[in-house]
Amino acid sequence: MSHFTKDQKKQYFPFTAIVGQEDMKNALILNAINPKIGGVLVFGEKGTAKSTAVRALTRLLPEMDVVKGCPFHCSPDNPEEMCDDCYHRYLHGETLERETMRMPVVDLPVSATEDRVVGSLDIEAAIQTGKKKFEPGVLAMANRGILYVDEINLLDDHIVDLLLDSAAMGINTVEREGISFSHPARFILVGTMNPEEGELRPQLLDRFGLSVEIKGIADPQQRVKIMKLRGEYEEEPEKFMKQYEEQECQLCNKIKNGRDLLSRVEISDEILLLNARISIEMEVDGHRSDITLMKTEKTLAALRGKTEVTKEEVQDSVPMVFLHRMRMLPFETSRKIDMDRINDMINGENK
Amino acid sequence: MTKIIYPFTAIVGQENLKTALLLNLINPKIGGVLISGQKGTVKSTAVRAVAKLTDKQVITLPLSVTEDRLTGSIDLEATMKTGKSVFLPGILSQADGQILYIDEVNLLQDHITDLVLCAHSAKENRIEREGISYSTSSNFILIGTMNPEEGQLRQHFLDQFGLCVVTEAENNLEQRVAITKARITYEENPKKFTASYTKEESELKEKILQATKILTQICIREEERFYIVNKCLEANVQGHRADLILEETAKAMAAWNGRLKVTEEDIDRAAVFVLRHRCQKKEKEETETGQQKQEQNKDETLEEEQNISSNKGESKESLSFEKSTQGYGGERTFSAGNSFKVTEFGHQTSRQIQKGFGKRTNAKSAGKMGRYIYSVQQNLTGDLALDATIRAAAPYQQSRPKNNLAISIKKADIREKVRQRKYANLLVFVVDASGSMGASQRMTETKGAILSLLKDAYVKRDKICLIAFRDHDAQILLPPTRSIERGARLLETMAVGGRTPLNAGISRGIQVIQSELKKNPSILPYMIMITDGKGNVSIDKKTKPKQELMEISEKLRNFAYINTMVLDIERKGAMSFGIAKEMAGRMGARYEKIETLKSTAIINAIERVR
Repeated sequence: MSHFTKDQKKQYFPFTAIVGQEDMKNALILNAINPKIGGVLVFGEKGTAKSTAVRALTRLLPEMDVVKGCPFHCSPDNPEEMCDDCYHRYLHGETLERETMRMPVVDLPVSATEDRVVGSLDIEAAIQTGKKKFEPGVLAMANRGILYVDEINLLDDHIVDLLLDSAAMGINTVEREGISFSHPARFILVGTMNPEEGELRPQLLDRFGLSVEIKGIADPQQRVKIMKLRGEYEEEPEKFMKQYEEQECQLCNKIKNGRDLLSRVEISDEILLLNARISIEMEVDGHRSDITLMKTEKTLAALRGKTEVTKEEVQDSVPMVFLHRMRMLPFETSRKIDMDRINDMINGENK
Repeated sequence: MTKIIYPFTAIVGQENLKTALLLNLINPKIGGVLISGQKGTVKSTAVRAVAKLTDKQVITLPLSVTEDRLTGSIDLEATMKTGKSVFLPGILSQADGQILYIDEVNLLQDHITDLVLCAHSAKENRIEREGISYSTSSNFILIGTMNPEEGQLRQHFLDQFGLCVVTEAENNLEQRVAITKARITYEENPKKFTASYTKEESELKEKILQATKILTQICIREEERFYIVNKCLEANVQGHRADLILEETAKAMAAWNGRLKVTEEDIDRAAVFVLRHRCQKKEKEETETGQQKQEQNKDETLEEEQNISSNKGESKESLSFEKSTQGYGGERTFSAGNSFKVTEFGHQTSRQIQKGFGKRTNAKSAGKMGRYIYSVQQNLTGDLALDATIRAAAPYQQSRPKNNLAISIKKADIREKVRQRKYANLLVFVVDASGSMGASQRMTETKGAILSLLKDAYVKRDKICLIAFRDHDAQILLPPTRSIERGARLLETMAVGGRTPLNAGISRGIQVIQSELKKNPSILPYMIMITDGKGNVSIDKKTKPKQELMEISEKLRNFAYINTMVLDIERKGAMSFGIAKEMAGRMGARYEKIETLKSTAIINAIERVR
């Protein structure tokens, strides 16, 4: 099966042409700068440009170097994260042939079956040659890219478990149908859900780095603007894209600069203590929130061209990091963060 | 792939977890450890880090494993080439002498769990399948991690883990910062970070090696053995496994501390790990403490309740109601009564409950959905298990005419997939909302009871549906949904008033179930009728309400696939008629008084019907 979507479509709706939804766009950009943040979960209604934004995002990123022909698009420069085959070749001093590709965006449909997610026995090869061969699944395709799961709360429970497993380890281990195989599966998980349709298990929620809540825009003028832009795009996509070229380029540079700056961003002990205090105050489980908060603050600082994390970044990061991690009693209807309380803590008005 | 692993010695805090893992490395006879804890408390990181401290391999058992890879089966390629059955060892054989690691062990399918369990206790993997009769040694250290929020493990499986530790997040600020810093430094440059711990790692490795040497020389005296046995008896453990494991663990503890003699302190420290998941309450005490527990839970949930109400800015008074001008008799809304946990799935619950829990939602799936676990020789579903089919055909390839095909498959080779998936229950609540419910505190109590059942449904991700009957008709307040929140919200605002069209309520319930079954044939319906049985409106005006009720009840009995329960809300006293009980009798339904709902009996009942 040739599932390899390199997203060759020439036309796409530019990221900078998306009206509103600043929180979501911001969260996506942060992940683009620092994929280690761990993805975004978008709470919200249908038809709010979620999927468009994800696809447009990859156009803002430089193409990546991959080992030619590798189904997991391994990086030729990073032996630690190579698949066994590439690593073997690397160890034997082989020069790995390169090619470039755009970061893949892989859709996981709600109806996906387990064998297609983790990969399975290649039926064709088995019948034609009598050899068993591994047929890579969605997790393989998503390696080094974005795995986009619309309505993630509607996925079958056991599929969700598999995602959770791979997302946590960065490895997909397959022991099924006579196949024994494992390969790297590092991806930015972008999920969407509408909480009215049912909840996602807390364990999976926690695996998402950030979350944002989005709504359809209520302002009639904005809505008309959206319609107008969409119409223009559909009529003459190339012309439309050209109009946004400059803005796209600016954002592209901003992301690039952010990536370059990221490793140089400093964070003081004072801020780290504040982070820990906030985590305890929020009564979230485990330590993942502390770590994600720190990464988000650093990335946000890098995006803003700063080399040091300030309270401003703390304030702006907290909602994204904690929204989905808030303990919710079974019958509470929505997640809320007491920002007043947090602001007091940030401004030192708390002991 | 991940050639670099976060070093064990760089893990901040979690001393119990680290100790439990080290004890297992020193003395593999302990048989493994179960790590239970919140998400994000370095459970998996610690397990993977252990691999670097020993010559043993850590073999991961993925959740999606199928039976053939677990136990081993025919080697397809080799068998076809040679025409003889060639065995390909599975994970259980590979794990021999190594560490078998199961992440999220509580999410593993029952069938797979059983196989792991058998192999671990017999230290042998026996295969009698696909024409192979084979047995390999399978002696491994079993390490599992789980998040108890996701469901519990069966008691039987729990017992297979030598030790058990519970991990929690650090509450000390400086420690937290240290954890975050270490993690970030690692992620920024894993190579450099790992290298900076080389010395600590090799020192620890050496210490383990020393301890394993000491271990062989440790003798345990009878005195200590008595101490061990008494400890286990005190904890009222089942069987003798705990005694043996406690001895091995205490020995490892002594060896770790460089001593040849096991002290009582060693045993005490070891007991924390060994008995945590094994101790049971004695029969007599069980009922008492059980009750106490419920009281406690009640208090806890009461607090929760108050939190909820205060969040919504409502005052919490059990009898607060609003008067409305509509409807005769007046409509009133009662706040939900105190909810209580309907059942407990802690480590210390009785075996029966856990058995039931395992069965509640797992069932073999007939459709092509669900997780493929193993294959059978049949030809019913058309759900071809290609891997198994080819394996079945493989030994005959040399002798069969192939007509230019690579493989010749005959009908007898066909294998089909057996899949398992979790079925959701559909809980249909048929609730009396008539005027008589306004009397005293009954509606409040009833709402409390439903809320408890809803909370239970939330944990198990069941679907719910809420039907209320009052005045002339039954109304579907909430169509089948997974959003338990909406159910709870509706419950809060459910109005009461008017006459009691019980019969309409029941028949509406049946309708909902039937149409839901059309959409989703795998759902398991359960109808819970909350009523005193005193209906006073019939559907067919020519029939008397009570007579009609009994007829409907008889009919309902014939729908064998619908499980039913009648929750009687009639108060004891001069005016009691016992109609609800009679109705339940005719339906073949489970009958409960609202007071008894607080015991675990009801949920047990739901389980057992499956």
